[in-house]
Amino acid sequence: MKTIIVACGGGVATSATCATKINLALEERGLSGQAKAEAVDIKSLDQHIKTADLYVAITPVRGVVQEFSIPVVSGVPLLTGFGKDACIDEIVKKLELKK
Amino acid sequence: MKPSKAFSAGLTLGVAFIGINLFCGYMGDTIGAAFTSIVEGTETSLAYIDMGWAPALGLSWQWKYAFLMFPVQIGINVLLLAIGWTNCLNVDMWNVGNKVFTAFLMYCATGSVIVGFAVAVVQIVAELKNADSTKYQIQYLTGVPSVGMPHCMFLSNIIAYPIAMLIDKFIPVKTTWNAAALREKIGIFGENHVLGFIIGTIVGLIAGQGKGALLLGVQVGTALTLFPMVSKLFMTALTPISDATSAWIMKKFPGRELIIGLDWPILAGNPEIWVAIILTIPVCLIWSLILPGNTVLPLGNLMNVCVCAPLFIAFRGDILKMLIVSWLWCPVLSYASSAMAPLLTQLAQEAGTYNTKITWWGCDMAEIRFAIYEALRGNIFGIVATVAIVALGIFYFTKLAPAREAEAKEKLGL
Repeated sequence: MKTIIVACGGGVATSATCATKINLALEERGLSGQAKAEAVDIKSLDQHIKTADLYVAITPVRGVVQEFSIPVVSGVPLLTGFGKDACIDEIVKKLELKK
Repeated sequence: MKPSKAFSAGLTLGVAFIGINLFCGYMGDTIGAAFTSIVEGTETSLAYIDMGWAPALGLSWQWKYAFLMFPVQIGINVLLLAIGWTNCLNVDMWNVGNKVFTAFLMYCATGSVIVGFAVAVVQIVAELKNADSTKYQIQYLTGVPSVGMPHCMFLSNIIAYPIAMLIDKFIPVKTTWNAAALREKIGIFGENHVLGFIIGTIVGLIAGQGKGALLLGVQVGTALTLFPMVSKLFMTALTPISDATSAWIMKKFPGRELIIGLDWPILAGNPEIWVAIILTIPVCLIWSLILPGNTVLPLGNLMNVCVCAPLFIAFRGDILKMLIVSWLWCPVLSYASSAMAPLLTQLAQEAGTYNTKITWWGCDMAEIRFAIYEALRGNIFGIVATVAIVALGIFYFTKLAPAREAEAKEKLGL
C-alpha cells in the first residue's frame, strides 16, 4: 500500500477534503487497494515526508511548488475542480499504480 | 450518491461528533484539573480552556439549527451569482461552520434564531464580496488564477488594511527577514505535540505538580495532536456533499468565468505566516496572564492563523509589522473569547460533553463578531464599534481593496 500525503494549515479541513477526493477517485478507478491518501499538518510535514510515497501540494507560493525528496504533484486542481482528472492521472502515473 | 456511501458519510459525521465530545472530556480531566488547582491557589481566574478552531467549529455543528446553514449559504451564493453581484462560487463547505458559529453567537446575544441567521447572511455576502475584491492579490501570492478567499478571517482586513496603510505611511521601511530560514529554526515549536508539551509542562509546574508536570505536558501534546485527527472526520463526511453541490452550481452557470472560493491554506506555503504565529505565542500567553478580567488560557488555537494570515496580506509579508500588530491584537482575542466562554461551555454541555469549561481563543474575525455580539446585547461600546467597523468596511471595499487590486494586477502584468 502506497501512502499519499496532502498537507494544509492544520491537517483538518482543506487537506482532508483533498485526501477524500483522491481516495474516492482511486476507488472509482479500482486502485483503492494500492494507495491511500492522508491529510497531515503542514507544520509537521518534514516528519510525514519520510514515510510517504507521494506529496500532493496545495500551497503554491507565486506559482512555485516546493520540491521534496519524494515525488510531488500539484493538488490545486482538486480544490478548484478544474483539471481534476489530469491531476489524478498524474498521481497514478507517478506512483506507477496499475489495475 | 449511492445509499451505502451516504450511510458511511452520515456515520462518519456521528463518529466525529462523539470524538470531539470525547476530547473535550479528556481536556477537562487532564489540563482542566491542573488548572483548577492553579486557580484555587492564586489570584488568576483563567477558568476556561481554549479548544482551538477545529473542535470549536465542530462543536458549533451541535447547535440544533446548524445544518440549515448549508442551504442558506448555497442559496445566497447562487442568488448573488445569478444577479451578478459576485463572481465567486464558494466551494469551501468546512467554513459553513464559521457562519453557524456567528449565527449561534448572535442567537445567544438576542435569543432570536432569525437575528442569528440574518447576521450570518451579512457575513456570507461580505465574504463573497471580499473574494471578488482580493482575487488578484491572491493570484499574485499563490500564482493560481481564478481562486478567491471568501474565508471570514480575511474580513479582519477591513481593520488591518487601514492600520497597514497608516504604519506604511509612518514607517515606510520594509524589513526583509529570511522567513524560510527562520521558520526552519523555530518551526519545531509550531508542531502540535511539541507546543502542547511545552505549554502543558509549564502549566503543570505552576500548578505545583512537580514531576507530574512532564506527564501533563505529554497529555496536552496528545490532545493537540489528536484534535485535528478527530476533526478531519468532518471533512471526510462533508466532501461528497460539497463536491456534488459545486458541480451542480457550476452546471447552472455555463461559460461564466467564476472565482472558486477556497479555504485559506492555499496561502500556507508562505513561511512569514508561520514565523509570525510562533513568535506571537509567548506574547499572547503573557497577555492572558496580565489582562484584568480575562478568563481564558490560549491553548488549542495558539497557532493563531486567523490574525496572521490576514496580516500577511495586509502587510505584504513584512514580518516585523505583522508581529507588532499581531501582538497588539491579542487582548481583543482574549476579551472576545472570555465573552464567548460561558456560551460555548453551555453549548458543549447541552451536547452532552463532559463538564469542561471551554472556549475558542483567537476565533476568526473575533473583533468583528465581538463588536456585533455586544451591540446586539445593547452595549453602547459594541454599537460604536459596530458602526466604526461598518464605516471602515465601506472604506475598505470602495478604496483600499481596489487600490491593492490595481497594484497586484500591475505586478502580475495584467
